[in-house]
Amino acid sequence: MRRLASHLTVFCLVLLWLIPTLGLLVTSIRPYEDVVRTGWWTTLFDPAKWASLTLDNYVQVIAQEGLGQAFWNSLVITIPASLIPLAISALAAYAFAWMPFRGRQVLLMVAVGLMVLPGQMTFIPLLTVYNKVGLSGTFLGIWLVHTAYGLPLQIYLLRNFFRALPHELLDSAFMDGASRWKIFRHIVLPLSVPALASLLILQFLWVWNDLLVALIFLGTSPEVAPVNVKLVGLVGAYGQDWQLLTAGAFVSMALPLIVFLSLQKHFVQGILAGSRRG
Amino acid sequence: MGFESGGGSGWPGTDWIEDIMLRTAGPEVYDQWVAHDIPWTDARLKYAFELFGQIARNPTYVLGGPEGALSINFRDSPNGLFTEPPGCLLHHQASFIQTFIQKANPNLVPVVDFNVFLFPPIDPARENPLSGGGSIIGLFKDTEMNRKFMEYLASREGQQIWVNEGGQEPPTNQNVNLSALDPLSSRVTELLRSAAAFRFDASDLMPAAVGSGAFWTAMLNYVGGADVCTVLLKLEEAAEQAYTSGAATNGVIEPGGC
Amino acid sequence: MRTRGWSHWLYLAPALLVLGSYLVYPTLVTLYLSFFDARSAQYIGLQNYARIFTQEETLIALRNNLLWIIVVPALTVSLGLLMAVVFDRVRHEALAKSAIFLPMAISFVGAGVIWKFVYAYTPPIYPQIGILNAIRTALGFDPIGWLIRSPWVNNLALMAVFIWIWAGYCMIILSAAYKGIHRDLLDAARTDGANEWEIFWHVALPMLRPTILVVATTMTVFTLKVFDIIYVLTNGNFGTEVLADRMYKEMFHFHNFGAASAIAVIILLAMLPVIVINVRRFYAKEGR
Repeated sequence: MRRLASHLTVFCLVLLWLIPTLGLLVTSIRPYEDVVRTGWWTTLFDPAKWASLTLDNYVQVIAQEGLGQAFWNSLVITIPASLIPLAISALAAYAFAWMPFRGRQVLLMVAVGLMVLPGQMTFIPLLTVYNKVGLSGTFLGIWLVHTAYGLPLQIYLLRNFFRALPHELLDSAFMDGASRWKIFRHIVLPLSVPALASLLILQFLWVWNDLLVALIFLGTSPEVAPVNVKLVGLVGAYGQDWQLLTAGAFVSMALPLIVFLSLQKHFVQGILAGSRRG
Repeated sequence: MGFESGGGSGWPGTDWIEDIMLRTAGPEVYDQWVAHDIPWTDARLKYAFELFGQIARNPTYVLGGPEGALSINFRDSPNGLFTEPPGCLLHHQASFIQTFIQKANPNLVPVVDFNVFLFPPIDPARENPLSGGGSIIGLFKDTEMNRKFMEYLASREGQQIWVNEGGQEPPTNQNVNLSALDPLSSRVTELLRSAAAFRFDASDLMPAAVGSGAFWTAMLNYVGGADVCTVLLKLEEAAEQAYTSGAATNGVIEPGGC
Repeated sequence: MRTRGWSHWLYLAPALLVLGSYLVYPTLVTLYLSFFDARSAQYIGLQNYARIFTQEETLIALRNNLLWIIVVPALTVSLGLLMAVVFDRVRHEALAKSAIFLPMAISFVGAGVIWKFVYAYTPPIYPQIGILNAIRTALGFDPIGWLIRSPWVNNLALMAVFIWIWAGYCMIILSAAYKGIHRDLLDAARTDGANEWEIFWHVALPMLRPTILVVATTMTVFTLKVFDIIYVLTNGNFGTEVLADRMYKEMFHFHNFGAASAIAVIILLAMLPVIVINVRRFYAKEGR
């Protein structure tokens, strides 16, 4: 009896969680005439309708509405915006973990404090400076912004991870005359691949899924706008053309979903490490 | 009626108020309103809102009632004209809506299956002006050549090319031959040419904080059931902050408002 | 490793440069600008702040943020906890968890489109294409504007999207903690005749408390930052605006940098307790 109740609860919850996404998927391959006339669920139970399913909506959003270009822009934004902060934070975390120096704890405490700083506190001054030096609307500009927002958490988590590396290993390498850089490059980094991978995935998803930062520092022009900005534009431009909006939304979700499904383990590890902070 | 427009929700309502103001208060007062020489709390604005409310807030006049008007996207809102049974019999919108109507209902023939008329007069003592937007061409570099080009674009010859190449915007030059226009656009152009007066869309002329901010929100709130004076007082507050001239004092205020 | 002069600064320099110029310096400037007028030209004291606490739009935003903080972390964490415990008892746990966790990979914008469609409204004379209104009409009710009806229906409808996304996150963390509790402990309680509810309430819950606190804190921070969901679904209309959206409007639509900065400072102040907690916890653990 108890097992049945548990299974029933789980089944209902899973169903509840999947239905909205299922509706999106089904709608994105239905023709316009069907979408405006009947609910998407009718397609599921009516095999006669299956023949009319189509990929035309995807063709339209990708080719005609510029979502293909936006997808490319998102890649150009996301890849450097994930790698740059990781490199910078690994260097800093190494110093914080293994090099005693005056003011270390204070600096680290500042980083911990900055972890939850709302981005809103930085938008206006940054944008003002960006407009003056011509960085607004450029990829370089947004890479640096995302770098800054990602750094505090990454520094803190990597520093904790580095500190947990076996002491003796690093000390003996140092005794043998290895330089700090050599130790970092040949011992610390190779041992930290899982942690680095987790953080890379988290930052990748965070940047890919961002809207606000892109709206502010890149704007809506098609040469630079990422998929999410473009998608919001489609929501404004297409109102209730649901077959296009849902196809667009799925295009924006495809890559994160692939990353998520194939690297779920690392993703979960990253999240668990993040939850143990402080 | 459909007021949903993503980040711009509410703007279709501003067009209603503009058309009503032109017909109940006249173009001169309309200009004072745009310049914020009269406050939003003026009796004539209150009257315009209330007149609009008699239609928009009446569930038997509007498909789905106010909740429908607020939920439906403006592009889809005319589609009720063409369903069986019809969801609505008349639709108030600028001429560009033709594109959306034909996209959603490809079998309809303009003028035969649907047609257009100028928003009817309200005060019989007044003429019936027309309001609208338009493409505006600006000059970044003031050279003789650029000026000449601008003049050409405004000339009969320049605009004729525009029309012949398939531009469906009503040409502003009176002498353009309309035979290349589709029948509905050419009807709209006739309306424009014969209108007693023309005024540019008021909300587009106001400072953004009012014309594409507070005014839109006000229309949503008013259709949603807010008290007319609450809405107008808030608009006046926004206007006093947005206009560099501050409070409205230049015009003659008609008492009896809010 | 012993210190060797100044070479640690080489490792720290890039990070300090970025943090200083992109986070610390702008924060100070924003604080400064919040005491100036729209064009940052004239000092106006606390007027921007006074406006936040008197003007209707910002009062609604404050109310909504408060509503979000009260409702959302509590519901998200409770749901995550429920899932962590119940999923532990079924065979295809990993699969079920993936389904709940999946929305986390989706952006707020994507989720916004998904849910806008769930809440879709068509007038009663036409068939409903949004699933919620279809259920309503199937039960004989009229369709309603889920995103229009203020203040409860639409705000809860927006919160549901947030909960849909983040419940999986809470579940993953709480599930790891729950599995960390010694099975013997739970089994011992069972042999003592305690029922499942008592075991959960008196044995498991107290042990999960620290984790719950951490997760609830994180959810509170995310709740305070919420922007995209509202931007996509209602754009802050119909009494759904929150501070982050209001700030964006003040900044980009009205170009009032003073008001926008003041709102940012209010958001920061709301997060200050969390910052203090984090720093203190860090100090307790590491500061010697």
